[in-house]
Amino acid sequence: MQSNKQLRREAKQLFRFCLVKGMLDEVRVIEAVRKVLEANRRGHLALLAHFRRLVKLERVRHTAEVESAASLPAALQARVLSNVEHLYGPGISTSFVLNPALIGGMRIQVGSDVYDGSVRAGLESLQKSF
Amino acid sequence: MADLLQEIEAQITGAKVTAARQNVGVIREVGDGVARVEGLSDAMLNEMLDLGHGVTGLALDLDETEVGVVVLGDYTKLQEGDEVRTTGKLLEVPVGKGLLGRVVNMLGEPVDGKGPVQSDIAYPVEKMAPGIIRRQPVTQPVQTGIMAIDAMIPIGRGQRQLIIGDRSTGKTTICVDTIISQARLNKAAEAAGDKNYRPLYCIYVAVGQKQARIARTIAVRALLDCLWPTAT
Repeated sequence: MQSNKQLRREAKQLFRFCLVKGMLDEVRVIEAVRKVLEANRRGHLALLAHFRRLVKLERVRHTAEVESAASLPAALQARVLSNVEHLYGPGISTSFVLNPALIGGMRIQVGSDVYDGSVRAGLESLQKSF
Repeated sequence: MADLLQEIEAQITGAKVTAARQNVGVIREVGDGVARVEGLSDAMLNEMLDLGHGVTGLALDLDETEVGVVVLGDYTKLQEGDEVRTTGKLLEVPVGKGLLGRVVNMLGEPVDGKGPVQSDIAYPVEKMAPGIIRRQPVTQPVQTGIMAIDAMIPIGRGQRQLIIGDRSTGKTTICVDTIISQARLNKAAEAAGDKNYRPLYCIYVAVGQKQARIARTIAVRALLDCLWPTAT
């Protein structure tokens, strides 16, 4: 019986196979999943669960979420997009989300990096300083 | 009231709202005092992490896709999906004479209800010990107050001593008796005004002990009227 560690190693190998020039190839991902399901080996569902997690983390790393308290004009959106691409390179998919809880300003998250210029963050840091 | 308003205005004026880059992660799994956090790509080994809900953690396992965090606090407050932030600081605790007579937890936070610890200096927990050449020789004894030990196998100041034995054989009692004995010597030297006497400060570190046992040790110390403070 394959241990959890072996399954994770295999999932990582599968994931590396799906990377083309450092970027995730969706066609390869779908093909890999189909082949694992067809093979129907013992532990294949756990393998796919680990693989899914790796794919999800890779997608999050190349996704930028821009939250703002009010909807942004098109010119500002384009500027944000170009600045994000300048910092993180091309291939970043950006989404714009409305979040009135920010009160004002913008919060940009790209993977694990967060740039929080919102009024809510400012108030929280002010509260901490007291 | 006017001073208070001025203070608040100064704080608001001084507050800088800049969008500095922060590194965050999300708790994937938490249990038994350990949390697995996804993200945190910039986490350093032994870095303190802010787990939210006033709980601090220590990054000990840096994996490719996640970070293993030891929770230094109540892990039951944490949930899957909670945001975790890096602090950029290594684990450090307050040090100094302000800790004498106090009971603190592993983060140096007081748990005796006597208010905050007075300390301006913080030392990192993981610190390189000075080399052998820099150390002073062992010349002064530690008076345990137990004749069999002090006469036959004396312990010196700056020395390490292992007390090994089965449970309930008196290992902790020897340590507590030593603390009490040293406290009495310190008190006597202070009362006599002996300027040449170097007091020995005792620090009792309880690892894996039950809270009831710690409370009993503290009560015994207080009961025997150890006026010379001992940090515990």
